Amino acid sequence: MGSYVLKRFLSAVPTVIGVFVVVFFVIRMIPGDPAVSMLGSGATEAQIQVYRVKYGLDAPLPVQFGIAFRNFLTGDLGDSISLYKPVREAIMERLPGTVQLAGLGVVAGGILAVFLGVAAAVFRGKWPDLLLTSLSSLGMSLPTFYIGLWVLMIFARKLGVIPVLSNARGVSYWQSMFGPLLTMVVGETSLLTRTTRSSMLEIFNEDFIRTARAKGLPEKWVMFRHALGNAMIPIITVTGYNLATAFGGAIVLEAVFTRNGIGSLLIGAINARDYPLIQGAAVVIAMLMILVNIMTDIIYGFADPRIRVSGE
Amino acid sequence: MSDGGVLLDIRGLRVRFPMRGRGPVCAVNGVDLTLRKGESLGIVGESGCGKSVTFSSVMRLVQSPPAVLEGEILLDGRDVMRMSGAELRRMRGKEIAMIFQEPMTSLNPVMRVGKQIIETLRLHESLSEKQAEEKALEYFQMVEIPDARSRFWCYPHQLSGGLRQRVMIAMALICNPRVLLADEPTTALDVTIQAQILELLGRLRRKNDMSVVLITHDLCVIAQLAERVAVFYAGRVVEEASAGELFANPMHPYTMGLLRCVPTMRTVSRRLDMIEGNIPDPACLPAGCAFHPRCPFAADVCREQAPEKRFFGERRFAACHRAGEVG
Repeated sequence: MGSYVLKRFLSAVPTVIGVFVVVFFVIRMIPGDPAVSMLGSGATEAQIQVYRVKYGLDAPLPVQFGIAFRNFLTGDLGDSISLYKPVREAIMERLPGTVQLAGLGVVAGGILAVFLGVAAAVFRGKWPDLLLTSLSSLGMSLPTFYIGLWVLMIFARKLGVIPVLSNARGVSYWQSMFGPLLTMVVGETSLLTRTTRSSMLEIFNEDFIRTARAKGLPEKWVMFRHALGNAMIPIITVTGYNLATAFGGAIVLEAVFTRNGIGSLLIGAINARDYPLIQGAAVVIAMLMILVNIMTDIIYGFADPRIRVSGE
Repeated sequence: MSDGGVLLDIRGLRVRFPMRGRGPVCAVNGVDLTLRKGESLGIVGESGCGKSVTFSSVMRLVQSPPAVLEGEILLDGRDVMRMSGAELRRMRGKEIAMIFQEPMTSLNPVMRVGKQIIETLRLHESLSEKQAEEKALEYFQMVEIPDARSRFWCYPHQLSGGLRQRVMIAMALICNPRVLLADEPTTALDVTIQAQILELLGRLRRKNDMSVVLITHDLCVIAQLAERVAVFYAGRVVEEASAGELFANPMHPYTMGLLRCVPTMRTVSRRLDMIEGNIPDPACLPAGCAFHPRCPFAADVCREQAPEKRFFGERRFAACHRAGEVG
C-alpha cells in the first residue's frame, strides 16, 4: 500500500511540471502586459521599462522561464505583481476558503445524493424515482453560474437571508458559505444521484442480494449494507470527479458570489496579467486535482477488497 | 427417517409472471407437495420447469408484484403466503434456509465471509459479537473448511468454489433451520467437490434431523441424497415416488425418458438417448398433457385432456393418462 501511494505521487511529478510549463507559456500569449495594466495607460515608456526590469520581465522568455522554473522546484512561486506580496502567501490566504467550500459541498452533496439515489432505485418506476430523475436531469443541464444566480435571486433578494456580496463586512462564515454551497450541492447531487441509482439497480439483480434476503435480513439492511456496499465504486468515482471539478468550478462560484478564494484570486490575477500569481494559482489548482485523483484510487481499495489485492 | 409429521405443505401453488404485450408466463401450474420432518426430497426437472420458482416462492423470494402467486404454502400449519414482512424475516434463515446454485456470486464480495455468517446469527439469536464469532467458527469447522480460523476473515474471492459453497452451507445451517432448500447446490462445482458437498449435506441432515429439499436437474445427485423424488415438468409435478421405486420402475413417460438420458457404465457402446424436442414455452403451454408433443406414447386423450394424478400407493403417483399401461 505504502509503495503504491509513493508510486502514484512520483508519477504525478511530470504532470505538475507539464502544467507549470504550459501555464507559463500560455499566459504570456494573452494580449496585454503586466506593466501596462499595473501602471495604467498614462504611464510613460520609461516608467514601463523601469517596472519591467524590476520584475524581470525584460529578460528573454527562455531566461524568464529558467528562473521561474528553478524557483518553482525549490518551492518558491515568486512575488505577486499586483498584490505586492509573495504568491505563496496570497495563495495560502485564499486556499482554505476554497478547500472548505469544496470539501463541505462534496460531503453534503455526497450524503444527500446517496440517499436520494438509493430511494430512486428502490422506488424504480414509481413517482419518487420519476421526480428524482427528472430533477437531476434538470440540475445536470443547468450551468453552475445560472443556478448560482437563482440562489442569489431567491435567498439574497427575496428572502434576504444571505448577502449578495459574500466578502462584504459583517457577513458571518455560514452566511457567506450558504449560497455557493447550495449551488455546488445542486449540481453535484444531480450527477451523483443518477450514478447511485443506476449502480444500485445493477446490484439488485446480483445473487448475493437474494442470499441476503434469504437470510431474513430487513430490507433496509439489504439495501444499505449489501447493495450500497457493492455499488460504491461508481459512487466514489463520481465523488472524486465532483471534488476535483469543485476546485476548478470555484472560479465560477466565487465570481458569482464575490467570495474570496483561490478561484477569485486566479480571476483577479488574470485581469491584472499578474504572471507569477496566475502561474501559482493554476499550478496549485492542478495539484489539488491530482491529489484528489490519487485519494480516489486509494479509497477504491477500501471499498472493494478485490481491487486492494490486485493493487498489491 | 420420513415417518415424522408434515412440516411443509404446498397446496395448489400457481405462479404467473405477467408479460407486457403478451400472455403471462405460467411458471408453476398447480403444484402440491408435502415435506415431512427429517425427510429428504429430491426435485428433478429440466431448466425452466418451475422447480426453482416453486421453492423461491416458499421463501417468498419471488417479487410479487409483478409475479402473481396463488395457493397455500403451509409451514407447520402457518400459511407463508399470508405472513407479514416481520414474520417472513423471522422464518427466513431461522426456520427455512436456502443455498443457491452459484457459490461464486451468492456471497457478498465486499464483506468478509465470517462477517456474513455472524450477521445471520445475530439477526436471529441474541448473542454477543464474541459468542456469535465462536459459534460461526464452530460451524466453519463442522462444514470441514480446512484452516477455518484464517479462512473466516477471508473475502469470498479468496476462496475456491467448493469452499464458498461450504461457507454458504455453514451460513444456512447456523440457526438450525428445520428445512434446508438446496437449489442446485453442486451444479457449479466440479465432480469430486460435488460428491464431497453432497456427502456433507447428507451427514448434516442426519445430525441435525433436518428436512432437505434438493433441487437439481441431475438424477445422479438425486440418487445420492434423496429418499423421495418429485419430477417436475412445465410447472407441474408429473410423478412422485420414493427414490428406489422411481429409479426401478418409473411410471411417467417423461421420467422414463430422463432415466434413459443418464449414461451408465453400460452405455459406452451406444448413442445416449435423449428426449426429442424442447420444454414448452411457459407462456403458451400445449393443450391436454403438457408433455404430449414429446411423448412417444401420446394418444388422442393426451392431446385433449390434462391428466389427473393416478395413484399407485400412498405417496406414489404419476400424472399421465397412460401410466401403468406403458413402460
